[in-house]
Amino acid sequence: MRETDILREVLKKYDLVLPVLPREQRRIYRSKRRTLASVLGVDRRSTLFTSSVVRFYYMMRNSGMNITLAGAARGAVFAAVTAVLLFTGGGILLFQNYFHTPVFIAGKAPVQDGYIAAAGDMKLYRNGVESLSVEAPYKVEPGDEIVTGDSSALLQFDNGAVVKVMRKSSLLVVSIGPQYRFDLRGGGVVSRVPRLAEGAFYEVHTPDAVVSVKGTEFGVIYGDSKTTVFVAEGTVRVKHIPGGAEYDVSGGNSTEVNGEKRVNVLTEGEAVIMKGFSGFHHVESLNGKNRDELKAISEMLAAADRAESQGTAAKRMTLAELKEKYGRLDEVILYSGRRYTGVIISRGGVYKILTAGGIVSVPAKEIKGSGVIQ
Amino acid sequence: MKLRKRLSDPGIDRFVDSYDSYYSVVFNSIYSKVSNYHDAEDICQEVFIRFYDNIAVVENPRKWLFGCLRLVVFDYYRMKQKKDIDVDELFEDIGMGYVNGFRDTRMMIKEVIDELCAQEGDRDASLFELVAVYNYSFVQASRQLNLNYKQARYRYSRFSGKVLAKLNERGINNIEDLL
Repeated sequence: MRETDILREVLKKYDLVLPVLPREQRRIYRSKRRTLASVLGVDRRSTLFTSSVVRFYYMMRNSGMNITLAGAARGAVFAAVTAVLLFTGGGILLFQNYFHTPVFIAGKAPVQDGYIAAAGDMKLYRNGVESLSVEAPYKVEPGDEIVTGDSSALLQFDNGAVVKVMRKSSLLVVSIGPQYRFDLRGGGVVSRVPRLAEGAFYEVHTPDAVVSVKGTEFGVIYGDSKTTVFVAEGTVRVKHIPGGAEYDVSGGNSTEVNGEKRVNVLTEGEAVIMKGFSGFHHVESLNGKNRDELKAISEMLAAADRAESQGTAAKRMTLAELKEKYGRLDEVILYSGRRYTGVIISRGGVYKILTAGGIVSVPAKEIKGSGVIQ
Repeated sequence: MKLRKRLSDPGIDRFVDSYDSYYSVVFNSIYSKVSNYHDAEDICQEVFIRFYDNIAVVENPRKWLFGCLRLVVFDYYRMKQKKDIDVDELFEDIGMGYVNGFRDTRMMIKEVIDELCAQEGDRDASLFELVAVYNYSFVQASRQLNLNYKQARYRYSRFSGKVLAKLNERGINNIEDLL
């Protein structure tokens, strides 16, 4: 037995030991904390703050940190503030996620001018700066530029207009209601515009064309320095800016805007785009929609995008891309005088021609001739 | 604001250091006398409040605390009007009732420990008292004194060595002889 242990035995033998039970020892330790809090407290009474400071002090000391009481007080305050901030922030996030519809970032309620859905990688530039956290419903303002990536974006406006900004497009919102003007810088946009009031107008501008309506459903595509307008319902007025030519395009027709004023029937690709758009309507009380309702619209938009991709895989291909892919470009001339430029992908009773606007089917008996042009 | 003022008091670090060193010993000393946990806590609190108020004039914290302790116990029971409790009796050492050599040896050992505790007057003494007298485990004692386990083991053996040396001075060459 070691001498130190023997000493304990000696103390026991001579009745110099006053054993304290382990349970009491733990109580004494708790009492130590309480008493220090009381000694430091106002009027010798412990407060929540002094108790917290003392608890923090002993927690740090027991973990091996040589901290002073003043340091513990500062640490306790810091820890409390951090905890409150984290708790509050976490609470707000939880509240937003589970109990509340998305919050309007620009709060002019009630606001109907906004996105219903912004599927995928859409960006919004305001005053040249990319806006963060753009989430439906989000208010758009004149001067905003909407740039879509691999997904379309859907907008609606107070006059009941519904606008779909197609994939890989850039649209500048120049003015909003009652005189709407959008500048299409690239890609495509499809609109459904209810009949406008007197003095109101709705225009889509491209670098070389102006398309204005009084009430219709139509699409505009700008690519390779050409503007294509296709109309599902009603009539649009098209103006070719360089040549000054103006003409109407009625429902079921499309046109490549130039001085020729030529109007054709909708291509298959254009029809698919308009069919996909027909399911979108102006939504009343957009602000009141919950997450699930907004998600449903977003999913519908994504489904329309997929249908466009599958049905008109090549509709967005330019002539240069077609030539690169197929190694040639064909020109098909009809007896009616109409010409199709693209790639003939099937012959027989019905010719199928892959053009920049999509696949066109033409009965063989209507074809006057065809040939490779480039 | 009062807490901030107290924490900026120049004596606060000395007070907290002494508080950490002696609280458990003082509490156990009171508890062994009054045998009531709540009374012991109240009395201990009063002792340390007085200690805090007089920290500037206290030279030897241990002596001051144990001197104050008896006074506070007396005041406490007088305030509570517990006239049936004899305070002097609380401080009587039961061991003194023994007779013959047993009593003398006991007195000698106690004197040695008291003397060393008064001389050293730091956590080593408190640690020795907690472990050897109040039967604390090293884990619990180190927690009470804000030490780690190894520090507690080392300090305890160091203080025990001093006790053995003192007993040696008093003619006890082999501690085992006392068993």
